[in-house]
Amino acid sequence: MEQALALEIRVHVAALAAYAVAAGLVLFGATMSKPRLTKAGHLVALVGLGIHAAALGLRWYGAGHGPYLTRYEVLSSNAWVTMAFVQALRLRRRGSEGLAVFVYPAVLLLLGLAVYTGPEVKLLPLTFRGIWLVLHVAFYFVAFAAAILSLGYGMLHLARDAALTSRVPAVPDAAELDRESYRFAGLTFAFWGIGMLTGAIWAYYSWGRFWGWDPVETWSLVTWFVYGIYLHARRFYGIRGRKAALLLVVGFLLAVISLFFTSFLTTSLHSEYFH
Amino acid sequence: MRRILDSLTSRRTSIALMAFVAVFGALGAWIPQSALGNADALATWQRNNPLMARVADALGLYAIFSSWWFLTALTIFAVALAIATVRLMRASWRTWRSPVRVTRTLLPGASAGPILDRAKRAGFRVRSEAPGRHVLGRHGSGVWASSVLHVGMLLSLVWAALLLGTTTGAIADLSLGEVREPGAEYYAVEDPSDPPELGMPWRLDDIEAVTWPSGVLKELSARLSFFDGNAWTERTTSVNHPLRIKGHTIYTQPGEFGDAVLLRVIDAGDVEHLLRMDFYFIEDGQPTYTDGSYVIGGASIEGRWDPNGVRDARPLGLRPAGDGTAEPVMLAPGDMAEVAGLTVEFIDTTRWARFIVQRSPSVTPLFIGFAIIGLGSLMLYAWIPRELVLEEADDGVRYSWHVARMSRAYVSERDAILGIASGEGEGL
Repeated sequence: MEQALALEIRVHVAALAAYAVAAGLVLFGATMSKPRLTKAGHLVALVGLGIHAAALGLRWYGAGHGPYLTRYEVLSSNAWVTMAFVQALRLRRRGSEGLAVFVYPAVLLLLGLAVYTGPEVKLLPLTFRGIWLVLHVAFYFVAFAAAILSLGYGMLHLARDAALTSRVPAVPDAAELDRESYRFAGLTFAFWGIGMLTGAIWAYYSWGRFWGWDPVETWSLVTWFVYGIYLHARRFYGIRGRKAALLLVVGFLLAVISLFFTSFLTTSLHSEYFH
Repeated sequence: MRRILDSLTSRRTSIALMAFVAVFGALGAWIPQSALGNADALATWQRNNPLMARVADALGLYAIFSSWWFLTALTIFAVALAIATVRLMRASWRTWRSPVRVTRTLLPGASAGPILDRAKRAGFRVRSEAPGRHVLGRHGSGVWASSVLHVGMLLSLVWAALLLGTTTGAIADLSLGEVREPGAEYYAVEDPSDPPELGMPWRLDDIEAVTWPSGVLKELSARLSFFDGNAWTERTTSVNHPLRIKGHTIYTQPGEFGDAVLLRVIDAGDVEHLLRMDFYFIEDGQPTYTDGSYVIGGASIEGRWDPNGVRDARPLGLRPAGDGTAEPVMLAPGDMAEVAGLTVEFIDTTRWARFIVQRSPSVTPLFIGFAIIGLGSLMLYAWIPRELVLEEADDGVRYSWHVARMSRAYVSERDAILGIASGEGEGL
């Protein structure tokens, strides 16, 4: 197990290096109109995803529990799910390559932060077990990945508005960027909501209450409501384009606060998480 | 009245209420809430934010989640949600039962056969067919997505309110072999006038703690027995797997168990007392101390328990409470000693555990509500209903294309089915 953990750190750094190369190639290729470089960047990202999966697998084996407890594990898992999401999207749907310009650096940042925080291993607290916790965490990983994609489309929309993407042919037109950000915000809302609900079930089985206005729970609800407000405003009040993208930025900031900052705020049942 | 009701239940009000709950929820997460037992955190926050503390005090922001205005907002939100759900269901029903639409756009020279083949390959099913007229659809049940989501939210919200209003809890404290008779006093109780009561004796048979090699707790379970009038039935409760019995749920908690010693104490007035002295489980196997002192006949003592230490032949240490300089008297089972003017006999060791006992309606409807929310959310974004109506004409095929949500995202699918170039289809 110790050998696995020692190896896992090296494999994680290798994945980080692959993502750095991929982000560099994609950014350079997109801004300099070099499609071959962009293609190579995507290929390197795909290889990096495989290496990253191996690193997480080794971590799982070495730590004896899923990678969802410490900052290192949470950030790395979020980075992996986001990269997997964007690769699946890229391979399945044409026109989504432009998203890599935003998402690859974001994934690089997440994994970089993970490696920076250090790979300390912690034993899983007694209450942090069971299928409902696994589902709770898994849905939040997917929700956060969808939030990054949604934000990516929103940011590209804002960049296009500011005429910053004129040299990036892979970026779709404004209407499509707006539509895709809406679609992924919808997915964020759905998976975030399911994540909260599975968390409530876990809390019920562990502590005898399904909701306790714990800071982490409350911020999570606030984030969900903000995404709900965005979806309602978009669908029923025709808020589009720049305004919608700015609302998404607010939603994403709240998501980041919920997932990565609230467990430090005050005493919380989640205080073992992300420390 | 109608106008008031309409404005209360409008989408605009729902959005405003969501924003209201979001803003005050965020404030409630930032300002420690006194009602949630955060006294220390609250004092620290008040010290660090003196100006905000005055504002929070004036506005009553220390108990946001139990305040009348927050609960009123949640109630209005629930009413708005209920009415929105009914409206959505009616709208979904109308869409579901809507008559087949009229075809609008002509594809000159096209024939229906290849279009039908392509549509079927794309997952479309034939909804209805008449000579020269074909209606195909995909994910038709997706028209119910919003309704399903809202029904789930409503069911969850109503049942959660019911649970919050009717659940009552208490903490039972038992040692091994101890029987809790109906009506016996609890260690702590939420509502003394209406404590949860199983109505039958129950007993703690065993408590099993499994630790990692480092000594950290890995698993914790307790074996309980219940007497139904004829026989004892054994059941198990463990962390994350509470026991549900006769409308009650019994939880075991990781920090609420440990070793205990049974003492016979004779005070200065020659009165005999039987005492159970509790020690909390310590994960790393280090010595553990009593949580506070025990007062007997005017004298108070405190204890130290070190079953794994160098003095394990005499693991119990006793000394007068609050006297840090006093050398503890070390005892083994069967020993007798004088401590703080008391004659103490160490009779035996046992284990103790505390259990949360909750009486509540079944949570199953709540979890069903959650499942419905999950289903509705997925339907909303994965099952987008599409309908293609084809009508054969002398000069080609007439069609109409309908998408319930995000119609522009499905233009390419429509064009591929119809076999037309991008942008040539009817307007959306």
